[in-house]
Amino acid sequence: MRFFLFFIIIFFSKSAFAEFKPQQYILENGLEIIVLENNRIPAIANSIWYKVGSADEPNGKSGIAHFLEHLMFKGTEKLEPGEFSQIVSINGGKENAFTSKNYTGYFQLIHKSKLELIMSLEADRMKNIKLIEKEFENEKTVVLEERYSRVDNNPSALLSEQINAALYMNHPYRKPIIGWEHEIKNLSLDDVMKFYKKYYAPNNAIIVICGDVNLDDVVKIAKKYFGPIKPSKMEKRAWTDEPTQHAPRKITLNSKNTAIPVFERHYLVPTYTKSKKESLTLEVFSEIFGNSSTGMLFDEFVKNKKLATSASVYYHPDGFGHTSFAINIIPKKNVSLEEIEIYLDEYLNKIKKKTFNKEELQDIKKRLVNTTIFAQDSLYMGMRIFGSSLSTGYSLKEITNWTNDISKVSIDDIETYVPNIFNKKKSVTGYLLPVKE
Amino acid sequence: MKKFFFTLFFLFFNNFNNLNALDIKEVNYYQDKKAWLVNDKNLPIVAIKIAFKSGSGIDLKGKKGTASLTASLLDEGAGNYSSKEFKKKLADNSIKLNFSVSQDNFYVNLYTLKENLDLSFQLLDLALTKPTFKLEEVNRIKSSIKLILEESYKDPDEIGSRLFRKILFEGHPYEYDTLGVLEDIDKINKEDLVNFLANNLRLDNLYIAASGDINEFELKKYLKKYFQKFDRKNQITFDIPIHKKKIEPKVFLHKKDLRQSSIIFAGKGIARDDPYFYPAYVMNYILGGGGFFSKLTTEIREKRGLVYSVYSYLYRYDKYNFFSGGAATSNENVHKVIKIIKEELMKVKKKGVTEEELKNAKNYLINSYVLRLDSNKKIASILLNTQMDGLNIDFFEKRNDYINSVSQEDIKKIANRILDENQIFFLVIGNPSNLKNINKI
Repeated sequence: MRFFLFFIIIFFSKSAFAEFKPQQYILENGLEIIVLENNRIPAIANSIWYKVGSADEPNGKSGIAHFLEHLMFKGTEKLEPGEFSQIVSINGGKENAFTSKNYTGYFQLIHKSKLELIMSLEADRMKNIKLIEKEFENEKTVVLEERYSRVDNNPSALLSEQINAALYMNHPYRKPIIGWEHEIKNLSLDDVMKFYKKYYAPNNAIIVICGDVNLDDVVKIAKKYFGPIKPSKMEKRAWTDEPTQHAPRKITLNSKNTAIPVFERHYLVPTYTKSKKESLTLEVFSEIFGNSSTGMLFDEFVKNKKLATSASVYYHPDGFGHTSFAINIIPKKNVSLEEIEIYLDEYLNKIKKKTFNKEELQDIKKRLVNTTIFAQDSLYMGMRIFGSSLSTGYSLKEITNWTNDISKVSIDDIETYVPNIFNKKKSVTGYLLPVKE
Repeated sequence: MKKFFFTLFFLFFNNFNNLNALDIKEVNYYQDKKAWLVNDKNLPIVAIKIAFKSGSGIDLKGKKGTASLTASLLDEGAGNYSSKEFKKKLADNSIKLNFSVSQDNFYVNLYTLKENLDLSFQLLDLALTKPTFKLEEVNRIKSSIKLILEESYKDPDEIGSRLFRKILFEGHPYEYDTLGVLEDIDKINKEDLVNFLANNLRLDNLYIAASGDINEFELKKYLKKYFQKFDRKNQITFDIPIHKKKIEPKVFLHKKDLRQSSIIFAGKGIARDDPYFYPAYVMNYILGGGGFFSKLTTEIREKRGLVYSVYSYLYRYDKYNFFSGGAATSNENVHKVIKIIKEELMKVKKKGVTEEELKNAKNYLINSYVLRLDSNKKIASILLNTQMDGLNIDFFEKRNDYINSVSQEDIKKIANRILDENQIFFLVIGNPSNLKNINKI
């Protein structure tokens, strides 16, 4: 509530980009720079994205990527702990940072005249953070408290954590971004610094700036502050793949802290980088099928059969390898989760064989394409879309062509790829069940 | 491009006063009624925010939840459209239209493409004037609302807000959730919903703000066509009584088996038109209002690692103001966190703030204001809230001067007035150890 400095990204909905006109430059040390000009107000959203997230953590050391994100505010050779934030704030800036499975990002919203100031600060902390044991231990309890707030005290987050660990049997996406409690407790200063030195380098980062600046000015400043930083030897990310999954899994979480039972079904499906056309089709299909007020699932469960008060789908295409296609249904009072499950399996069998209507598909694609325009109505959104997509394997061209590619999704594509989603062997079913105290 | 050097970081602070001067037009659409508009053609979209001064606070006894249920049902079928057709029409045309209520207000938000303005206003009009309130949809939405209300007895955060309202507002309409009261929901009938609209959607309590690709003439045309009809006479009007609660300095505990306890506190607040409003605003920023180095965050998070988040804020209802805040910490640290919050509040009361703290706060509050104006949605919100606060359009030119003129002495005075040790309560949800003199709730 109100104050969430440092947050963790779990889901971030992909939006469209056709009207954005990104400009790109790559420094000699490999640092990629993207500028999205937007002259509406004399301000910028400045950001840096490191292509490292929780999936890159060594086994047994979950939580490092996110812990490091906190420590990036704890001082450098030049700055005292907290001074980074103080400078940003005194200069009228707002800032935050986030960690996901695939990337770690830092951003500031600030007046355009402060571009050089913040780029110099960001360059400084790319290589020079300086940590002492006391600050480290202090921040560890902050991170633990963050975990208790976000996950341990929150039954639906706890259920998601359990589902996630079951859905990925072998891929590092199975680890929670914030880390397992016992592993966070055991992290050492040395663990975190090793991780920092290995992954925080110009050739593993992308700067994305949206606002009232031009590429030439940005490049000039970037050369001055980031230019001298030497690239590190980066190994190509090689993550363990999912094996063939032979059996559906089921998880039930009983909780005293909720009154609302929830049904979840997550299927393992491809990300955009794994299977492009298939992923674009899933984006379109999840709007037709899973929109929370107009989707087929809502129609069937809430309106027709009157089994549920809400029903929707979430598909997040970013990442490497597999991701989840997640169905969420809240039953009506006196309808059990088992009844929901039995009917869902019946219904999904019909969906696999369903033929789709061409006009309806046109309408749905128009909805997605229009999100492009709304996405430009703030400095933050453009920065966020380009940063997260580029650090999860999209090329610049793939981002700007997204609306075109979405428009090409056909009835054939839908009928080809949809039956692949609902393979129960590659799924986890989750029940959240209220218990009386 | 200005040049900076590391050594200059603390020496050079320019203010961007002129940037707040939004080009606001007052659009006179009927008699003395005026809407505020910023015509910005950067993108082919329009954001419109509307408020009627009637919220859940006027729900009648035994029918608590009427305002909110009405708002939730307006897009569930209107005119000749069924609920499904109405929702599909909105989605297929990328029209975001929603209705919501607070204790004091009934809000309409429209966010749409310029090319769909005609259709958007037609649908908005249907929703406000010809909602069907079909029994099937009414029952469906009621069951959703009841489910959420049940959550306020199980979910730790929801329990916290419910008990907070109970402590602060017992006996006053603000005591109840804007969604209503569980036992009342099924007692609300179609006639109540129809009456709520007929009595409360009136021109004399209407505020309108718009931002985006729409000019004065266009806006005037739409408002004339669709809002003049709300010039209604002889309506039954309802008023929320002034709330004059004196807060008792107690620590309330709702025991629940949780990994971490949450702490909420509240004390005296300040009215928007109070001459000391800006000193209070700046004081709150320094104490716990965002900013990574507020006093509360520095002492409790940065120095001691006791919490992930701790904050404070000033809040205003139409009929009551308060100062409030919160934190979440492991059960064994609750007593420590409460102690430090009290100490920090009392330090500001006794000593005020330093010159540097004040200067830093002003720099942030003034220089960051422009960041609130980067989207049509945000601008429309600011225009609406400023109007509803009873301010004029010249507010945007004066706002930074108000902040700039706050002195250390002003802050000391207002701290002395509102940070009253004998009028602050704490509410804890969790299973704290070592907490003494508690009142179970």
